[in-house]
Amino acid sequence: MIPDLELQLSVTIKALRDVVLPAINPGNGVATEQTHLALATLGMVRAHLPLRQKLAQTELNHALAMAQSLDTGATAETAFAAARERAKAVADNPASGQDEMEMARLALLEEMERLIADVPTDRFAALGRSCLAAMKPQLDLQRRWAADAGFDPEATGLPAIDEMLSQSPANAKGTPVSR
Amino acid sequence: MVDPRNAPDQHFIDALRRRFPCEAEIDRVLTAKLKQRGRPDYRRESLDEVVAGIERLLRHHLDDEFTITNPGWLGGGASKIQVAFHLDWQDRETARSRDLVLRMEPPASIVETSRTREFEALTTVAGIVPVPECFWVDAEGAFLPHPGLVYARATGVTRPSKRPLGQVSGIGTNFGPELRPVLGRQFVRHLAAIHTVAPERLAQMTAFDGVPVGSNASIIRQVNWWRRVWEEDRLEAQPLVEIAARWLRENAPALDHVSLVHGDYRAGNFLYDEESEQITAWLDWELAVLGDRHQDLAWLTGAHFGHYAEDGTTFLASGLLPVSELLERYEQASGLTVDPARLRFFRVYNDFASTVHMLGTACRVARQGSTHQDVLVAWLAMIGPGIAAGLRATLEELL
Repeated sequence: MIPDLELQLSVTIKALRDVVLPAINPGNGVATEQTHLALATLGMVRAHLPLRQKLAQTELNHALAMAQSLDTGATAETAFAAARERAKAVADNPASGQDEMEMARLALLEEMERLIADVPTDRFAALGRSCLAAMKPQLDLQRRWAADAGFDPEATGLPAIDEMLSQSPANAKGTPVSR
Repeated sequence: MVDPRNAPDQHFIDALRRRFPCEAEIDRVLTAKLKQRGRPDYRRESLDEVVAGIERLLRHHLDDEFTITNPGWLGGGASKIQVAFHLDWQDRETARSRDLVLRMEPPASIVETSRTREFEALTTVAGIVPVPECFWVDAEGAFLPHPGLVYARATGVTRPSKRPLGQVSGIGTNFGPELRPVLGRQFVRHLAAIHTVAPERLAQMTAFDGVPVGSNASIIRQVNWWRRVWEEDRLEAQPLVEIAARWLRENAPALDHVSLVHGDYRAGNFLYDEESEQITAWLDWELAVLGDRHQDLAWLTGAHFGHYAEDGTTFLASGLLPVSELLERYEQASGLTVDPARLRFFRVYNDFASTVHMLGTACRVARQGSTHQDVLVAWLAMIGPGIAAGLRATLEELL
């Protein structure tokens, strides 16, 4: 057996915390701060590592929901429509890997941003509102994912990350937290 | 899919410059950033190499001998490399001896800014509010490893030494109930003084383009600045940023008064003396602009820089004063009005710019490994989702 990722992370955290940190010259504030942040980052990675595949699936589903909000019927046969079809095919294929899902999501986001930039002024407000409503679950997910950093106290009031990742696109609703 | 942002070519750079026109000095800095990108991985200069750069800069400016002693890395701040040192030198007939700080850019930064503009802003407010005395600037890294400026090392602390540590970079600092009103009054008085610097003094700031009253052109130019940075730095697209930029361009108010705007006026960016409880220096002027006072007011009353008082219900802007009291005191001290509509506009603007910094630039520079503190930059990027969520919610109400 070789050490698994969980074991490798836990021994690295222990070494930094118990050996490296106490050995740093207390006058070296930069090294002390960066070591504390390295420890906190590794702790977060350790908690999130098993969730990567689910995260990729959920984020792709959120991007598709946002694309749905931008579908005005007038966008067929465009780069946006092609990116959306591709993303849908990847999302529907149970064999899709993490990288494949990520590439499909990025390509779709690219086309959505372009579509917003090009939309005529008279349609901007309606399309913008629809898109803003559709992007809430994705932003809530990102807030929850980053909650342990402590910058966004309200994010801890969002549903647990496991719960957010298990939501299907059809029932990926908003959350009790207002923003 | 190859991302052209990883190693931008001239065509990519020219297209962005045409699409998002901004101030000349900002354009110079951003263009230089893109031309630098794609070079080999960052290697942090040794302290000796940086000191050698300081010596080259000083030889250029000083006729007589000088001595540098006690150089050392300085913590604090998320975007610039700082080195403290002591300098003894001869200034014409006078022997001088000062503790100084070199504030130098890393190869890439969470905000790419101009040392010339920072130097001009600091010298403009010298004598008006406490700032470190400025000595020399190396705008393009002709002597230093990278562009930088040298100023006096200010004394003081950013937070009470006896209270628990808050977040990195002074975010959420709790000064305690006794100190708050004392610092709060100075905080407001200094802000009012900065925002009412005389026009003839502002006119001497040559690295800042002219800003006409009665027009929203300068504010649209600021929107263009950060929209361009988003296009240069982002690792993934985000329709929220484009929606925000369009809303800001379409709703930018005409300027009613030209102020020097600090750009990052908040707890964490001033030093104070713990014994006298006096603010000793305002730092971090790199985001200064000539523009609308409401930009600073919206920033310093923002949710992420304050906290609730002990009663659990009173929100303290920058951890110092309740928002309504702070704005009232500001109006009295400055003689300028606070317009809720402009305040709301600049809340959107600030959240838009912060979203660009955190979800765009911070992730880009941390991935490139091109700062002296990538782990801090990547950590700060996690502020981004909360700010973006706030921006989304506000835009949903406004659209």
